[in-house]
Amino acid sequence: MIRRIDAISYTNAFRHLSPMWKSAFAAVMFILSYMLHPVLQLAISLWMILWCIGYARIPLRAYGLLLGSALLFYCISLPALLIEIGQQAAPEAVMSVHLPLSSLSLYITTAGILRGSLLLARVAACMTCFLFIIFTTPFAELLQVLRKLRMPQIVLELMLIMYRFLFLLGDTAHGMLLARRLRGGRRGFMARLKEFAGMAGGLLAKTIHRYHGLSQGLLTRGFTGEISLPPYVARPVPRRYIIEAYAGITALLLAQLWMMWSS
Amino acid sequence: MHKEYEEHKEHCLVFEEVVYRYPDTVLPALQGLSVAIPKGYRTAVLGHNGSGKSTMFLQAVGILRPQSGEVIRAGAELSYAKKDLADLRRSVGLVFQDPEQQLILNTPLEDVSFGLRNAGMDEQTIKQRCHEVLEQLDLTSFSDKPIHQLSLGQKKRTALAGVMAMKPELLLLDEPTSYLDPLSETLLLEGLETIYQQGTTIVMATHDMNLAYRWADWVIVLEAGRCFAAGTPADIFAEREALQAIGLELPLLADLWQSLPPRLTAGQTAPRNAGDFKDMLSLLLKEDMS
Repeated sequence: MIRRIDAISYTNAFRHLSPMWKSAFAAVMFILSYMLHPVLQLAISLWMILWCIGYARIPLRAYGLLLGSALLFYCISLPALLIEIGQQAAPEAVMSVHLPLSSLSLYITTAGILRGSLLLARVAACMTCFLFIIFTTPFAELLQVLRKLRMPQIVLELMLIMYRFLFLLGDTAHGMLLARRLRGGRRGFMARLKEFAGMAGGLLAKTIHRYHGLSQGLLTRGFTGEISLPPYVARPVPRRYIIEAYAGITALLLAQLWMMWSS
Repeated sequence: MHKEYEEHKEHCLVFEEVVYRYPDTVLPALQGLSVAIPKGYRTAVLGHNGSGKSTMFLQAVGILRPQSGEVIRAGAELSYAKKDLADLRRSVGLVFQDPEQQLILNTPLEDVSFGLRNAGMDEQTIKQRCHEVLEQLDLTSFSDKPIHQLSLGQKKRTALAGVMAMKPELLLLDEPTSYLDPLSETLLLEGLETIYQQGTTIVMATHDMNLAYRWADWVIVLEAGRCFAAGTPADIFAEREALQAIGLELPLLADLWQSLPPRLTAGQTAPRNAGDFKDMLSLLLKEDMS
């Protein structure tokens, strides 16, 4: 999936838009996602989906898959948010199940459902803001933005090396897995577990080997103790997007104020 | 069979009795290597795996340091002081066999600029130099593509571009054509020819005897960490028995040429590529039949 995300970030319709503008827009929307009313949070989610799929032309399938995977974590935590346990189902319970051979009951309350719904609205809004930046901005440009925001050089270098190694590691692991499968592999859960443990060891050795190679490569290319990143290059943003972004943010803020006054 | 390198006036680098043993290994990788790299030549370094080719290159850029003997550049022993090493690596470029080893930044355009920025050049010069080199190596169309999305051939050319951008006097290439398809190999060799025409001395370590025969002006054969032979391709590949004794095969064209009747080949210069060989053969056969 990471390769797919990376490929999309280099080929989407927003590829050549200013990364700083995209980051700032996503950051503002993220803050609003956290602060605004749940109804507005849902509006933010839909609006950010429109930006990604409608304007940046991110493939629907890839977008859905990533959003779905992220929401899966929400779903995993849902039972803990919804289900309560007690000697007797609370009077406001909308559904209850008595546990056999005990005096305990599992029940769901309206408050629990509301809590889960509020969280869903917030999670969805925040995720769509993140996905906007993840899908539309290549990692290299994100590093440039972070550099402009005065992120310490060491953090940027670590991020850069980790990013490069992520793909190298992926290729190495894929190669090793393929070689094992072609040689028959092992059957059974325990055997597979052992196989994966062996592969992890092999992967570590290969990674160290790669690291050694990369440090030699860095030296031969005149490494001076600091990986100099290319400077940030400002890029224009079409007026139409700027107007829509300002108008949308203003509308969201006005709607929030109206909701606060009317309640 | 060892041809004396002193016959060449100018040398980029000279290795004098260099010995180097990697930690935890029994035999030294270089066992008194004495060889010179002639300036302005296309030199091929031949030898088996473990013959010392890569170690020799790492010595040439000061990554490894001789345990005895010395590496001489411009008449003086290499200095391993930080500043001198930086100067050395600006004028001696090394392209590794595995391009992943030296591709650092995210796209070809960014990566090519890496060494130039380290050298403290201004952004305008960096931009200009990067575009020149990317164009020379036919990399412009994917200069903004992430490195991990490139094919091996494209990665190898990007690694070469990164080194070329520094305009080194001497370019060392460790197995540049390994795992490449014929088209990628042709593109790479065309790029090398451009660099060579601009005055860069090129040294290529390879197992491909046919390529060495076709491409090189000077050949160095390494065996067990020593220089077994050095000379022109014609001289080196004329010694069939000596090469076979160390397990190296003759290039196909040299083998075919040597298998022709001596009355046909006497006084003729052996052709070094398939086209010349065909032309020469048809001419010789015509003359022989008339």
